[in-house]
Amino acid sequence: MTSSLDSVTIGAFFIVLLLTAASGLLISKWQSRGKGGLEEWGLGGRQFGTLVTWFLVGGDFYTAYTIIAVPALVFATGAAGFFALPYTIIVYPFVFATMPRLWAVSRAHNLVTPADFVRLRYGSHWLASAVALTGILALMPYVALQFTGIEAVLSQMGITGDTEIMKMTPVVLAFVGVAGFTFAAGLRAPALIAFAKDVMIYVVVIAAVVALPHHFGGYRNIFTLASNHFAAQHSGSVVLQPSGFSAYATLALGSALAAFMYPHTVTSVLASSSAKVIRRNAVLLPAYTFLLGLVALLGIVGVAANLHLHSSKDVIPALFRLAFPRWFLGFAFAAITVAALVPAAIMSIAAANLFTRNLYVEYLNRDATPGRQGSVAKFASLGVNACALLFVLIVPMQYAINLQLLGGVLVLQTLPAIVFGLWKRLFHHQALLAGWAASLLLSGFLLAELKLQTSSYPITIGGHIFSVYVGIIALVTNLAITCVVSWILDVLKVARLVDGTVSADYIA
Amino acid sequence: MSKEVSSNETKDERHQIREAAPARSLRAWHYCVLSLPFFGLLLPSFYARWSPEIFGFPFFYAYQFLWIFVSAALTALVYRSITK
Repeated sequence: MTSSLDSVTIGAFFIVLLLTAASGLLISKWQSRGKGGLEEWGLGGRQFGTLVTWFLVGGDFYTAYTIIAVPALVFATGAAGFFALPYTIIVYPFVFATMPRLWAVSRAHNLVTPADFVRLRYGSHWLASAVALTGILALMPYVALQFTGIEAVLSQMGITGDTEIMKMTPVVLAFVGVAGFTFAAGLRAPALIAFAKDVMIYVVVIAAVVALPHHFGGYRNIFTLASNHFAAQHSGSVVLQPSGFSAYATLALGSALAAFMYPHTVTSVLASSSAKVIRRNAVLLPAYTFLLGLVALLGIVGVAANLHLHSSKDVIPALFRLAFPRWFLGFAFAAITVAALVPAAIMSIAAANLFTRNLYVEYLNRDATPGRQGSVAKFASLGVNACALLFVLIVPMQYAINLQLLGGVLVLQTLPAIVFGLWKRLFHHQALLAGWAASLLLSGFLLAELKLQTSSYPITIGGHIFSVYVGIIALVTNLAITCVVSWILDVLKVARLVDGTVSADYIA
Repeated sequence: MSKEVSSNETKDERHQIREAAPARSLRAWHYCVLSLPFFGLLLPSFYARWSPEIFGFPFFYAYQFLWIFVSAALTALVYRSITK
């Protein structure tokens, strides 16, 4: 696909980015009334109301990578890529049932990370460290991936550069910006920029879904055209084929269960001012799902338009070029860029919180004051951003995508330790550790078998072959091992460690 | 809120906690209602069809888009029931 430097587009792109950055700088003066230290920097003082939380979780969960990758998958495979829609629908009833309890117990004991909760509930620093390390590992490639969005945008604008260094300069600048904002203002910085990001993304997506179908004679025509193209290329389909049912359902379920096991989504939940804020948001956040559904449909539009792309990741920028006037194209590309920076900042904060609470305080400095923890976390976030930058510069993007796939599978394996403990201490911590370790080995093995090219593994049941999401296979194994080991420990009358919570802690 | 608040917290914060607490937890039927979207969406054999078309959308897409609203409404129902 030919790209050309266009001064109107690039001008609009940089003006919008500069305005966003300037407003972010101004508003980051927005100070808290409450306590300082880590809860202030890493959780915004737990003061975010319904609206801020809506923007924050929206900014966190629907990332630039989502906006690029979901339509790319639909463009490549058709209906099979649409699992992102059921995934982001069923995730909210799950959030409604689980997250208010996690918020309540965290508020009652000043907990900052999911691993903090596991530590308090099960009394085991080994289990807490396992949860924390899994979270950090899963986050690193995710931070790096946000920059695929920026890369896709820059290459569409023709900013490619002759050398690798010139090409990477804008990415490096974006990283420096994120690191600086995060260091100075903590979670408040992305919370505020998320307002701008979400409004811009809404404007862009609505403009795209209004302008594009018109371009191709309406949705009925688009679906028919796309169906013909899929049939001609002998891959993909507009309606899901029976062979794809099991992968579709297990990917939706596994992704939904994993979504709020990621430390960064938990961070934005724990920053709420009350459990009521979380419940309200579980009702209101599906508005973003509607938006995501529209974005996913753009993949079908891309097929109907018969776009010939170097990579399916270019489908959104390419469609925007078709549909938008040049100045608005610059605005749209700036929106995608900001949509990468917001989650990258929240992810680095979440990883820094985990490092500080569950590694630094646990193993290096037991008596660290909240103020000390706050400054450790600030520098840890710089470290996280530096690592992610190195990752982006050194590791080819395809590996980042594969590692993110692995990260999603791994983070799902922390579910038994985090979620079941919110109701009852059914399991021994040794059993949870055993299940976690076994499921990690199994997922590594299965994904290696698949050469990290796909995340669905074919299993045979009663002569039929079902493709099942590796995360779900590993989770079932994880739970089975946890149950059996826990039962054995009960039979052997092995004592449990002290539970630091009481049942009233979970109600709010 | 029966849980005792630790003494190093300010009066203001204690007030905030009490205000934020409807103090009712979910009952069995709440969990049943919250699980309905899982049944509605995780069995694609029920909805992976082209017809009937709705506003030009194959049923596969229209059905799943519809569930965004159904799921939000069900969650709102449970929210209503516990925050009365």
